[in-house]
Amino acid sequence: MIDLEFAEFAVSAWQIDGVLTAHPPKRRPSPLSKRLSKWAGHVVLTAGLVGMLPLTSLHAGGPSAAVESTALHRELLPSTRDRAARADPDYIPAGHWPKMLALLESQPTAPPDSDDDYIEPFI
Amino acid sequence: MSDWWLLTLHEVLSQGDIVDTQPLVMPCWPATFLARGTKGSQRVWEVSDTPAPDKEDQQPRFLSRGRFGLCLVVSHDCELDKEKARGRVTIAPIQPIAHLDEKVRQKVMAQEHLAVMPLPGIPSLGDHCVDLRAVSTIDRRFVDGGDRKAGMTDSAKKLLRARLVTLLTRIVLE
Repeated sequence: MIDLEFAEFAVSAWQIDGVLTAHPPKRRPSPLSKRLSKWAGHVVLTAGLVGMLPLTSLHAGGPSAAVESTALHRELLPSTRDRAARADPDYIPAGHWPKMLALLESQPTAPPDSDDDYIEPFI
Repeated sequence: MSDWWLLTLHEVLSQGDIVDTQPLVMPCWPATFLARGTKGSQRVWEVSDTPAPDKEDQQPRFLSRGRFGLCLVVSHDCELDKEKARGRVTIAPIQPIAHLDEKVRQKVMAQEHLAVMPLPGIPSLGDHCVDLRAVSTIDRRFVDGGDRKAGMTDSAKKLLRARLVTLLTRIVLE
């Protein structure tokens, strides 16, 4: 059982590792990143707990390959633009499904147009 | 500037622009394929039993119906100003709201019809409405050569975007 606080920390660790390995020519893994890399297996597990990640491909490719080859990169690694947008509290990163789904499910739905109100298509 | 329409058009094509003389088309059913041919000395289009790639772009030709008329630009500004995305524009046909029956006209004007959105008081054109079920994509060159009649204000654009979301998802954005 992993508590939520640990899960959040682990996902953050995965993000840091992914950012660094995504830009090897520019940035060398920091001591912190090396230290966090041993958490990778846990990160996969906790990322799975939040719901939307293909665990089999994550396990098969190893941490760095998985980050670059699955939706995890887009789901959890903020791009430069996303990081800049963090200043906006209402900003939802692209592909951040848990937040997006919660937002959508909180919205009311409209009934379809009634047959009585049918309008012939304009084309 | 009204709530809906800009006093002065944007310099470049924008979402919510009203453009005249655009192809509003629907492929005919059943599909009728066409191929280039000759009749005497004249070049003609002939019905083809199968889709045949045309010499111009290797795409088959087929029969469509429709008209050239007023449309609303649906593509987002961020698509319209991208060099690589400039080749296509998504549009929706519009027509005078007076063409609708009185009963549904009232519903459309009251924003109670999802698929048909009112476009009240378009400058020099009057009350119109747009059919968001009939969205289509056309070659950008048609629009660039068309007559831009009006442009939506930012508030009106937001209404359009919210309507598109609600029409396709039934989710009401509040």
